Amino acid sequence: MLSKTWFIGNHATHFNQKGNLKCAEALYHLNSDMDSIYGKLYVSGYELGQDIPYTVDAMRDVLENHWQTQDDLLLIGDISERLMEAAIAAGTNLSNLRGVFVLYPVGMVALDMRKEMAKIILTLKKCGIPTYLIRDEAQFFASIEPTSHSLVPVHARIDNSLGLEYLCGLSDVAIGNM
Amino acid sequence: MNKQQIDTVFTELMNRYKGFFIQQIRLKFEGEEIQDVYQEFSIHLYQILAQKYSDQVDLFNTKAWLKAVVSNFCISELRKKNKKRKVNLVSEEKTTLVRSNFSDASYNSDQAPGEPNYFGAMKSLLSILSKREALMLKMKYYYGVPSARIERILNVAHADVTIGRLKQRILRKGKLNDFEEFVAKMDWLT
Repeated sequence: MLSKTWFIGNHATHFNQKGNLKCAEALYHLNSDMDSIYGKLYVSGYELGQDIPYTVDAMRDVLENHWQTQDDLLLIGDISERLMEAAIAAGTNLSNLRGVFVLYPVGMVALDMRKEMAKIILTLKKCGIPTYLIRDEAQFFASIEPTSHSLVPVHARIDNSLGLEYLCGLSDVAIGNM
Repeated sequence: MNKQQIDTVFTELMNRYKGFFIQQIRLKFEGEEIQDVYQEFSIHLYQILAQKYSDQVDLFNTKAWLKAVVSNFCISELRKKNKKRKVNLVSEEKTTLVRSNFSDASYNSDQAPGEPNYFGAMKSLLSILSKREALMLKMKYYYGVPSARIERILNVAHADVTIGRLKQRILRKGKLNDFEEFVAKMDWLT
């Protein structure tokens, strides 16, 4: 059973601005000081670390520390955001990542971001982590409440009514049973 | 692209490239200007994302594109700044202002018709005096320097700077008997 669903980054947390979805959130905010290129990582409203650069390695280390005791993780986010990349890296390192729901990336138009996204998908495929693309965000969040329990059956229910698309990570047998 | 997506792209770009933007701005500006230009650039970037990011698919290698955007913005800011400083030169054909040529007497357009020739008066009066006395007169009546300051600068007695003493000196140098007579005789006042 999944114990926690995480909304990672600005794109994902936008769907939970009213706080009606009972999920954890992770966000990165740059320091307001103009000369500073560091920022703070917030997890569900409280500060996880200060003066963290916006790099995959730095954010992955912080998230890994925080998720040490976490049994299972289900991530929802936009893989064109570096924070999502760091969260996936942390989850795969800790081997407690059970699934990833990818929002249609806002960085799809940018060539170099596409290369980064291709790398992430390849990692997810290698690690065998079930990955789905939420193509129609409005439809998805209207039809499902992503609490820790309600997303479990989604793995076995990929159809157009959810605005969801399978990307990678499931074995051929599992795909045949869907 | 809706507002929410633009917000996400904008935040992501700022998170990733803030240092790069400031570095690029520093190449063309310095001091407190950097902060002002950075703020203006942030607004410009948000607007340009809303206008172009969704349309120009496949054009972007993001960092190269952003470098072009920040560089062009800095150049246009520099142009605006220099435009304010630049003196606007107008050719002679396009202006009604007539410039005076003081070296050429025939081109004395500065003097209104019927007005006494003050420049000529000053010139003929000063030609009577020595350089030092001429300087004293100029300082007192042309530049309005106080007598106490003139005596200090030229190292002369205070009495020499008074109008009475100056008149006497003009009379002596010009070999004249009466100052009023000298003034009345001058053709430049007619």
